[in-house]
Amino acid sequence: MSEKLKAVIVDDEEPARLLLREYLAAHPEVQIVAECANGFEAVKAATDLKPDLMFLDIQMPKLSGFEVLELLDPDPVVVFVTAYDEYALKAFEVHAADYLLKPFGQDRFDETLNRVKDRLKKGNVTRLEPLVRDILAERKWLDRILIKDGSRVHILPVDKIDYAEAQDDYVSFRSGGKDYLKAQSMNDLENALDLSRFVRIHRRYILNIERVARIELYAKDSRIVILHDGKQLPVSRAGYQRLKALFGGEV
Amino acid sequence: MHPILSNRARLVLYVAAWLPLAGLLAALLVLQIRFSWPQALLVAGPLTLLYALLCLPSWYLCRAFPAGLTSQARLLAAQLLAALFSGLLWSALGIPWASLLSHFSGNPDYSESYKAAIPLFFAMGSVIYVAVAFVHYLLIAWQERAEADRLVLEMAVMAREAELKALKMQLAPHFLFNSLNSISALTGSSPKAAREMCLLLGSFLRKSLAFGAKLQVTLSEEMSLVSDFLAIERVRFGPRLSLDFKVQEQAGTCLMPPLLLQPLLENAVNHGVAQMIEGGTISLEASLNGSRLSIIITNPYDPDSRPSKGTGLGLQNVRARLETLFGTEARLEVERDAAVFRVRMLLPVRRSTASLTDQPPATRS
Repeated sequence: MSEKLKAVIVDDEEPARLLLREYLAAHPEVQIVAECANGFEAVKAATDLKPDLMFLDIQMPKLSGFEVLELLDPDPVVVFVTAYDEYALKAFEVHAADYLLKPFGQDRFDETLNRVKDRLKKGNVTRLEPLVRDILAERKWLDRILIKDGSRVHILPVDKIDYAEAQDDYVSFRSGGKDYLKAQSMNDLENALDLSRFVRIHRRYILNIERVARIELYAKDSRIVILHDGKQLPVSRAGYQRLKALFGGEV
Repeated sequence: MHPILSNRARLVLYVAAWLPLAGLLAALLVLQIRFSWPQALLVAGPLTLLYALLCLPSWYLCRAFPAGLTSQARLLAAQLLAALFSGLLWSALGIPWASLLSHFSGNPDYSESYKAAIPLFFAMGSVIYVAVAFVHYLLIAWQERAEADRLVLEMAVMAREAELKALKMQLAPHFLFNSLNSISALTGSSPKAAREMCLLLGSFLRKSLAFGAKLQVTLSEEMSLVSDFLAIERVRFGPRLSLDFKVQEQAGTCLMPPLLLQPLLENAVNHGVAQMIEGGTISLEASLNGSRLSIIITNPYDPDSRPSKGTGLGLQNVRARLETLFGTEARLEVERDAAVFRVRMLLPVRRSTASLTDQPPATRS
């Protein structure tokens, strides 16, 4: 291994970053390419610097460690660093994720780092999508959509979304007069949203029901919904049944 | 539930208490109205047992006219009327019983003599009814007393539970592990700062444990605990966490239950400032407001951040403790606008002349 491993440290607490820096000093084969104090910086650093390895704190402002992970593509190998989170610990064990529990000593750190280096060498990297899905699914409904735009992150609270439109492998979210593109499937999105506030009106559209101004008959057996801003969206027969159920038949 | 009917031991005791009455009645029948002893017992025995049952519903009348809550005149009138009616009913029921006895024994004496005994049954019945009502009132008083004792005990247990919960929250694992990690980090680069933090953590833990055993502390004492806590958090959060505390001098000497402010400030840190990338200022203002001690804690928060797990638990426990300790005398108001979270606590002003404060206040027995 001639080239150094590129590592990023992510923690919102200065002393915690300091400690990782100190422990990493014993490993000259690892080079710290960035230190981040929040999730936005972490996503940016991961996009720009393509690190091999990320030490990731879980509890951080705005974007939690898990949300950072959701936005990383491709994933670096991640070592979670946390003080205490019963639920996350269970998930780490289930998905064989690497993690460090604060406070930890140099021994434990070295052990974890060596295991991770081993994984990298063998290409035997733990996929973390199932872990992230588990953790995020624990919340009842999706309450905000995270969208990566280059190295920037937009947070869209779901109540600010007018509708979502399928575009091949992407979903385009309409919010505040702008469109945001995210790689996601319509079915996954529909499953994650609160279905008393969002309804799948068409194979290609999911609508925030608060945006509905009225529904009109367009042709025989075919309807359109008109939003408060005048935008018109097609409604399928199944979609109309769902709308009717939501509005108690008065549409 | 009828206290006698619902309890077999009491029912046996109750019926047993009527046996001497049956004997007395029979004796009166023998002495006053020339019944023979066997005749008197045949008349008086079954009728007494019947009356024992007839008197049981008087419980409901006693419940409907509780002593102390109804005016005495109304209570007396109702019970006297009931006593006369019961006596009348009993003496009337004796007539068919006596004729039944006459019929089966072929001896008309029963029926004839009973007529002479009617006034006796009426008078005895009324007096006995009053006695039974009296016993019922005693039972009610005893039940109420037991219920009150149970409530007092329950309140005491609840208050103690809330105090223990407060202490447990004080020693939140997240806070402790993070603090230890900070100390571990500082040990390498800045041993002096690490030692400083050990001392702060030691002081915080010692005070928490000491306060957990107290019923009240002064606001100044609580503030010193809170200051230790925040000094530790400032090591972790650095310049992201700033503080603005104003405690009026007279407010500082007021007494309050311990560990009430700490969970509120912990919320302000964890759910407020810690969720802001740039951090923010937590402010606390304590002042006397008439007969109330008013403490207002404000912190900025990120309206987009989702309520993390554990939100509300600290508030809930503080609220529950205030309720058990002060009832309606204390209030906890929570309000939030677009970017600021504000908690206002109003406590009755209490001071002690002695400086030692682990004596229970007069209102708690």
